[in-house]
Amino acid sequence: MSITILVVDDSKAALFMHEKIIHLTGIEIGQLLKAGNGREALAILEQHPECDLILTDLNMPEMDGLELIKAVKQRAVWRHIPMVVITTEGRDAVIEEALSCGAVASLPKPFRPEWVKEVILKTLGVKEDDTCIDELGEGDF
Amino acid sequence: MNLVKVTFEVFGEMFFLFPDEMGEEALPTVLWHRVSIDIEGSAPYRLTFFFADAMARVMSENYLGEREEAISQPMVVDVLKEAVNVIGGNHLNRLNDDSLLGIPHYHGTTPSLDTPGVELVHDLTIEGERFRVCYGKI
Repeated sequence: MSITILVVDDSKAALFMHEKIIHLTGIEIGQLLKAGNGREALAILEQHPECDLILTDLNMPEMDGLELIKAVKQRAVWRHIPMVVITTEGRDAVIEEALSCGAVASLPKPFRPEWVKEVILKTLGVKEDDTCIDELGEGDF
Repeated sequence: MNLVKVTFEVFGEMFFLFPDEMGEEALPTVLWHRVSIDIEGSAPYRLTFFFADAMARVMSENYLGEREEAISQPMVVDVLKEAVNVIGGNHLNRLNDDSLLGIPHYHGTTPSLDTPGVELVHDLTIEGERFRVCYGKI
Protein backbone atom coordinates (compact mmCIF):
# COMPACT_ATOMS: atom_id res chain seq x y z
CA MET A 1 0.00 0.00 0.00
CA SER A 2 1.49 3.36 -0.90
CA ILE A 3 0.03 6.52 0.48
CA THR A 4 -0.36 10.16 -0.52
CA ILE A 5 0.57 12.71 2.13
CA LEU A 6 0.12 16.47 1.96
CA VAL A 7 2.48 18.46 4.19
CA VAL A 8 1.69 22.11 4.88
CA ASP A 9 4.25 24.50 6.36
CA ASP A 10 5.25 28.08 5.52
CA SER A 11 8.92 27.25 6.14
CA LYS A 12 10.71 25.75 3.11
CA ALA A 13 13.42 24.49 5.43
CA ALA A 14 10.80 22.72 7.55
CA LEU A 15 9.14 21.23 4.44
CA PHE A 16 12.54 19.96 3.30
CA MET A 17 13.05 18.28 6.68
CA HIS A 18 9.49 16.93 6.87
CA GLU A 19 10.05 15.23 3.52
CA LYS A 20 13.35 13.73 4.67
CA ILE A 21 11.90 12.50 7.93
CA ILE A 22 8.80 11.01 6.30
CA HIS A 23 10.99 9.05 3.89
CA LEU A 24 13.16 7.93 6.81
CA THR A 25 10.15 6.23 8.40
CA GLY A 26 10.41 3.55 5.70
CA ILE A 27 6.72 3.79 4.92
CA GLU A 28 6.06 3.56 1.17
CA ILE A 29 5.02 7.02 0.07
CA GLY A 30 3.32 7.15 -3.31
CA GLN A 31 3.15 10.94 -3.42
CA LEU A 32 4.42 13.60 -1.02
CA LEU A 33 2.65 16.86 -1.76
CA LYS A 34 3.79 20.14 -0.25
CA ALA A 35 2.10 23.48 0.39
CA GLY A 36 3.28 26.73 1.96
CA ASN A 37 0.00 27.71 3.63
CA GLY A 38 -3.61 26.70 3.98
CA ARG A 39 -4.72 28.32 0.74
CA GLU A 40 -2.11 26.49 -1.30
CA ALA A 41 -3.08 23.27 0.48
CA LEU A 42 -6.72 23.64 -0.60
CA ALA A 43 -5.64 24.24 -4.20
CA ILE A 44 -3.55 21.07 -4.09
CA LEU A 45 -6.41 19.06 -2.58
CA GLU A 46 -8.63 20.14 -5.49
CA GLN A 47 -6.14 18.41 -7.78
CA HIS A 48 -5.47 15.48 -5.44
CA PRO A 49 -8.64 14.27 -3.73
CA GLU A 50 -6.91 10.89 -3.31
CA CYS A 51 -4.85 12.36 -0.47
CA ASP A 52 -4.65 9.93 2.48
CA LEU A 53 -3.27 12.19 5.19
CA ILE A 54 -2.57 15.87 5.84
CA LEU A 55 0.19 17.10 8.16
CA THR A 56 -0.14 20.79 8.81
CA ASP A 57 1.70 23.46 10.74
CA LEU A 58 -0.57 25.76 12.71
CA ASN A 59 1.11 29.16 12.50
CA MET A 60 1.13 30.20 8.86
CA PRO A 61 0.37 33.42 6.99
CA GLU A 62 -2.63 33.81 4.66
CA MET A 63 -4.48 30.79 6.03
CA ASP A 64 -3.34 29.12 9.23
CA GLY A 65 -3.63 25.49 10.26
CA LEU A 66 -6.90 25.84 12.18
CA GLU A 67 -8.58 27.58 9.27
CA LEU A 68 -7.30 24.85 6.96
CA ILE A 69 -8.71 22.11 9.20
CA LYS A 70 -12.10 23.80 9.27
CA ALA A 71 -12.10 24.30 5.49
CA VAL A 72 -11.18 20.66 4.83
CA LYS A 73 -13.81 19.34 7.24
CA GLN A 74 -16.48 21.46 5.58
CA ARG A 75 -16.07 19.73 2.21
CA ALA A 76 -17.73 16.33 1.92
CA VAL A 77 -15.13 15.12 -0.59
CA TRP A 78 -12.26 15.83 1.87
CA ARG A 79 -13.93 15.34 5.23
CA HIS A 80 -12.63 11.80 5.64
CA ILE A 81 -8.95 12.79 5.26
CA PRO A 82 -7.24 12.58 8.67
CA MET A 83 -5.34 15.70 9.66
CA VAL A 84 -2.39 15.90 12.03
CA VAL A 85 -1.15 19.24 13.36
CA ILE A 86 2.52 20.07 13.71
CA THR A 87 3.02 22.30 16.74
CA THR A 88 5.91 24.39 17.95
CA GLU A 89 4.09 25.26 21.16
CA GLY A 90 2.62 21.97 22.25
CA ARG A 91 0.37 23.63 24.79
CA ASP A 92 -2.73 21.67 25.73
CA ALA A 93 -5.08 24.53 24.83
CA VAL A 94 -3.60 24.83 21.33
CA ILE A 95 -3.77 21.09 20.69
CA GLU A 96 -7.27 20.83 22.13
CA GLU A 97 -8.47 23.57 19.84
CA ALA A 98 -7.00 21.78 16.84
CA LEU A 99 -8.59 18.50 17.90
CA SER A 100 -11.96 20.15 18.43
CA CYS A 101 -11.76 21.50 14.86
CA GLY A 102 -11.21 18.01 13.53
CA ALA A 103 -7.50 17.15 13.79
CA VAL A 104 -6.83 13.60 14.97
CA ALA A 105 -3.33 13.95 16.45
CA SER A 106 -0.43 16.35 16.93
CA LEU A 107 3.31 16.19 16.39
CA PRO A 108 5.63 18.55 18.27
CA LYS A 109 8.47 20.33 16.48
CA PRO A 110 11.23 19.36 16.14
CA PHE A 111 9.98 15.85 15.50
CA ARG A 112 11.67 12.51 15.04
CA PRO A 113 11.09 9.83 12.40
CA GLU A 114 9.83 7.30 14.95
CA TRP A 115 7.09 9.71 16.12
CA VAL A 116 6.06 10.45 12.54
CA LYS A 117 5.94 6.74 11.71
CA GLU A 118 3.81 5.97 14.75
CA VAL A 119 1.39 8.79 13.97
CA ILE A 120 1.08 7.86 10.30
CA LEU A 121 0.50 4.16 11.00
CA LYS A 122 -1.94 4.83 13.84
CA THR A 123 -3.83 7.53 11.97
CA LEU A 124 -4.26 5.40 8.86
CA GLY A 125 -5.09 2.34 10.94
CA VAL A 126 -2.37 0.37 9.21
CA LYS A 127 -0.28 -2.35 10.77
CA GLU A 128 3.41 -2.17 10.08
CA ASP A 129 3.47 -5.33 7.97
CA ASP A 130 0.69 -4.03 5.71
CA THR A 131 2.90 -1.33 4.26
CA CYS A 132 6.08 -1.78 2.32
CA ILE A 133 8.48 -0.80 5.04
CA ASP A 134 12.15 -1.18 4.36
CA GLU A 135 14.32 -2.20 7.24
CA LEU A 136 15.79 0.91 8.74
CA GLY A 137 19.53 0.69 8.93
CA GLU A 138 21.75 2.05 11.63
CA GLY A 139 22.40 5.72 11.23
CA ASP A 140 19.22 6.29 9.26
CA PHE A 141 18.00 8.66 11.97
CA MET B 1 16.17 31.95 32.49
CA ASN B 2 13.51 30.03 30.61
CA LEU B 3 14.34 31.55 27.22
CA VAL B 4 18.04 30.69 27.42
CA LYS B 5 17.28 27.17 28.61
CA VAL B 6 14.85 26.63 25.74
CA THR B 7 17.40 28.04 23.28
CA PHE B 8 20.00 25.56 24.49
CA GLU B 9 17.56 22.68 24.16
CA VAL B 10 16.39 23.60 20.67
CA PHE B 11 19.94 24.09 19.44
CA GLY B 12 20.88 20.67 20.74
CA GLU B 13 17.80 18.93 19.34
CA MET B 14 17.51 20.66 15.95
CA PHE B 15 21.07 21.67 15.13
CA PHE B 16 23.26 19.35 17.22
CA LEU B 17 24.99 22.48 18.55
CA PHE B 18 25.59 23.18 22.21
CA PRO B 19 25.83 26.85 23.21
CA ASP B 20 27.65 28.37 26.17
CA GLU B 21 26.94 31.70 27.76
CA MET B 22 29.50 34.34 26.96
CA GLY B 23 31.32 36.40 29.51
CA GLU B 24 31.84 40.12 29.39
CA GLU B 25 33.85 40.16 26.16
CA ALA B 26 32.48 42.35 23.39
CA LEU B 27 30.82 40.76 20.43
CA PRO B 28 32.87 41.01 17.23
CA THR B 29 31.94 43.34 14.43
CA VAL B 30 30.36 41.13 11.82
CA LEU B 31 27.20 41.13 9.80
CA TRP B 32 24.33 39.78 11.87
CA HIS B 33 21.16 38.16 10.59
CA ARG B 34 18.34 39.65 12.62
CA VAL B 35 15.18 37.61 13.17
CA SER B 36 12.34 38.42 15.54
CA ILE B 37 9.10 36.86 16.68
CA ASP B 38 6.30 38.56 18.58
CA ILE B 39 4.47 37.00 21.47
CA GLU B 40 0.96 38.43 21.45
CA GLY B 41 -1.39 38.68 24.36
CA SER B 42 -2.22 40.92 27.29
CA ALA B 43 1.47 41.79 27.79
CA PRO B 44 3.00 41.47 24.30
CA TYR B 45 6.72 41.24 23.85
CA ARG B 46 9.27 40.51 21.16
CA LEU B 47 12.11 38.03 21.01
CA THR B 48 14.93 39.15 18.74
CA PHE B 49 17.82 36.99 17.67
CA PHE B 50 21.10 37.97 16.03
CA PHE B 51 23.05 35.24 14.26
CA ALA B 52 26.50 35.75 12.76
CA ASP B 53 26.53 34.62 9.13
CA ALA B 54 29.10 31.87 9.75
CA MET B 55 26.91 30.49 12.51
CA ALA B 56 23.82 30.67 10.30
CA ARG B 57 25.58 28.50 7.72
CA VAL B 58 26.63 25.91 10.29
CA MET B 59 23.07 25.78 11.61
CA SER B 60 21.76 25.29 8.07
CA GLU B 61 24.24 22.52 7.27
CA ASN B 62 23.43 20.68 10.48
CA TYR B 63 19.66 21.07 10.23
CA LEU B 64 19.30 20.20 6.56
CA GLY B 65 22.07 17.64 6.47
CA GLU B 66 23.43 19.23 3.31
CA ARG B 67 26.83 20.70 2.45
CA GLU B 68 27.18 24.46 2.70
CA GLU B 69 27.61 24.92 -1.05
CA ALA B 70 24.29 23.21 -1.65
CA ILE B 71 22.39 25.59 0.62
CA SER B 72 21.05 28.80 -0.90
CA GLN B 73 20.88 32.07 1.00
CA PRO B 74 17.05 32.03 1.03
CA MET B 75 17.21 28.58 2.59
CA VAL B 76 19.63 29.85 5.27
CA VAL B 77 17.12 32.60 6.06
CA ASP B 78 14.38 30.01 6.26
CA VAL B 79 16.40 27.88 8.66
CA LEU B 80 16.95 30.88 10.94
CA LYS B 81 13.24 31.71 10.90
CA GLU B 82 12.41 28.11 11.71
CA ALA B 83 14.90 28.14 14.61
CA VAL B 84 13.26 31.26 16.03
CA ASN B 85 9.82 29.77 15.45
CA VAL B 86 10.66 26.61 17.40
CA ILE B 87 12.46 28.47 20.20
CA GLY B 88 9.55 30.90 20.50
CA GLY B 89 7.05 28.06 20.56
CA ASN B 90 8.93 26.02 23.13
CA HIS B 91 9.45 29.14 25.25
CA LEU B 92 5.71 29.78 25.20
CA ASN B 93 5.03 26.19 26.09
CA ARG B 94 6.89 26.63 29.38
CA LEU B 95 4.94 29.74 30.32
CA ASN B 96 1.56 28.05 30.32
CA ASP B 97 -0.41 31.24 29.73
CA ASP B 98 -2.69 32.40 26.93
CA SER B 99 -0.07 34.24 24.87
CA LEU B 100 -0.06 33.60 21.14
CA LEU B 101 2.98 32.96 19.00
CA GLY B 102 3.43 35.27 16.04
CA ILE B 103 5.16 34.45 12.78
CA PRO B 104 8.95 34.90 12.61
CA HIS B 105 10.13 37.95 10.74
CA TYR B 106 13.53 38.21 9.02
CA HIS B 107 14.91 41.77 9.06
CA GLY B 108 17.95 41.21 6.87
CA THR B 109 21.59 41.59 7.86
CA THR B 110 22.99 44.42 9.94
CA PRO B 111 26.32 45.33 11.52
CA SER B 112 24.44 46.82 14.47
CA LEU B 113 23.04 44.94 17.44
CA ASP B 114 20.93 47.91 18.57
CA THR B 115 17.40 46.87 19.39
CA PRO B 116 15.02 49.53 20.73
CA GLY B 117 13.03 48.55 23.80
CA VAL B 118 15.22 45.61 24.72
CA GLU B 119 15.05 44.71 28.39
CA LEU B 120 17.17 41.57 28.54
CA VAL B 121 20.10 40.46 26.44
CA HIS B 122 21.90 37.11 26.43
CA ASP B 123 25.06 36.60 24.42
CA LEU B 124 25.81 32.99 23.65
CA THR B 125 28.61 31.24 21.84
CA ILE B 126 28.83 27.99 19.95
CA GLU B 127 32.17 26.71 18.70
CA GLY B 128 33.60 30.19 18.54
CA GLU B 129 30.61 31.74 16.81
CA ARG B 130 28.34 34.19 18.60
CA PHE B 131 24.69 34.91 18.71
CA ARG B 132 22.48 37.15 20.78
CA VAL B 133 19.01 36.60 22.19
CA CYS B 134 16.99 39.65 23.23
CA TYR B 135 13.71 40.11 25.04
CA GLY B 136 11.82 43.37 24.90
CA LYS B 137 8.39 44.94 25.06
CA ILE B 138 6.78 45.75 21.73
